[in-house]
Amino acid sequence: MSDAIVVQARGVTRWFGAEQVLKGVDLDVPRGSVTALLGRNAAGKSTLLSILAGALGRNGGEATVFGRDVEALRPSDRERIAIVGSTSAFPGRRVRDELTLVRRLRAGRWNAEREAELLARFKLPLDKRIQQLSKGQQARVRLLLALSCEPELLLLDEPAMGLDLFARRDFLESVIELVASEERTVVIASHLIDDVERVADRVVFMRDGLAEIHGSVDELRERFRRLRLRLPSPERALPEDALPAELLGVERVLPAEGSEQVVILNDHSPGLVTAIEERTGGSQVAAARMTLRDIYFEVLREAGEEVRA
Amino acid sequence: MTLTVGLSDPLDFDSDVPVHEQIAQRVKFAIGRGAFAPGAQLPSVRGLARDLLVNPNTVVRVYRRLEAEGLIYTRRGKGVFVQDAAADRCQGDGEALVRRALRDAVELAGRAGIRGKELERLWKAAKEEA
Repeated sequence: MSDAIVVQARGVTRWFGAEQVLKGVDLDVPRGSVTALLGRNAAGKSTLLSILAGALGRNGGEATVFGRDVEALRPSDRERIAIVGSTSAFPGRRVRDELTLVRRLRAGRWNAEREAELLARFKLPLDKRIQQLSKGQQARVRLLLALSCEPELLLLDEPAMGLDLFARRDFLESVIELVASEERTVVIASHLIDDVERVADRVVFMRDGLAEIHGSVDELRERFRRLRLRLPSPERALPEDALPAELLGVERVLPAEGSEQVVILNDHSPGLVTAIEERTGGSQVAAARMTLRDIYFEVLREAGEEVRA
Repeated sequence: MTLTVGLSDPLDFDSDVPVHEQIAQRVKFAIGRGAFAPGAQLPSVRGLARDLLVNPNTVVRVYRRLEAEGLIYTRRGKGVFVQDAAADRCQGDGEALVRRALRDAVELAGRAGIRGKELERLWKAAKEEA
């Protein structure tokens, strides 16, 4: 494994009782990247992050952070990782006490300057209990704690859940600043495309316990296309369900619109278009690029679900 | 994308044009129309990323590319600056973009069966509307 890969997973599996939540997840997170882990609720995102943070065991596969098995991380490795969730672990604690505690636990890497700077910017009431704060303020406390630890790897698990749009924007700005400083690596798990489309340079889609579709934002936008075909007659349309095996790279076939048909490709290539044209006797009208948002809806929709945002 | 779009104006995430390309274009347009004179300092990576709410890596990439094209230069620890001959070349880029848009429009007209005098009439009408 190269130094450029900070987090690596190979075939990671995890069961909860009789339910298999992770069915063999592969993941590579390059140093300095912001990787978005996108999936719907219960897709296994949190489970994967907890495993990577060493907080939860796995049933099979390999998972390493900084080149070490996540279950064999030394305390000095753990100090380089911070995980931020959507709730506070000790809501009854006063902000001041929480700060003191984490400062002591993370003494080795604690950045007092950053702590002071963020305290001033976030205007946190130190004497209040965390549960007395607004959700936005609570999120700021969690973020302040994580950022002051100067983590090399920051794992964010639905960090903006429950925040209003202003607090989200604020949160996003903090993440942007965090990435601006040095070679920091961020993984953000979210079910919301809005949280990540601005900051992610890599995207991993999780569905059915797998992470099969992943790549840089540019790669994905290159690969995903809405191919519009003109058919010689409506009868030549591709079937919507049973796709021939040689048409690998087709994400979904839409119902024909008269003598035209739209086919969503997830791995566009001239060869694939030719194969579809030969199959149908039709010809390409356009192969339009898709926005990350449209790709999100295509990949994460369930059968029969309306996808236009 | 118009030639007058400002550096920190909101980006279009639903555009066909990738975000890094949008940022590169608007830096070029800003230089081309003289908003940043030769030798002037461009916004910092961090500052521009914050204004646009994008990943700083994206801005780094844009600046690297413009540097490779010889339009800007970096002074370590100081920032990013406009090269002397950049303005003329950026204006050239603006022209190329307009030429491409016009060519696309002519192509579109061709597909719609609009040619010759009819196309001229549309062109005149467009100029009056703008």
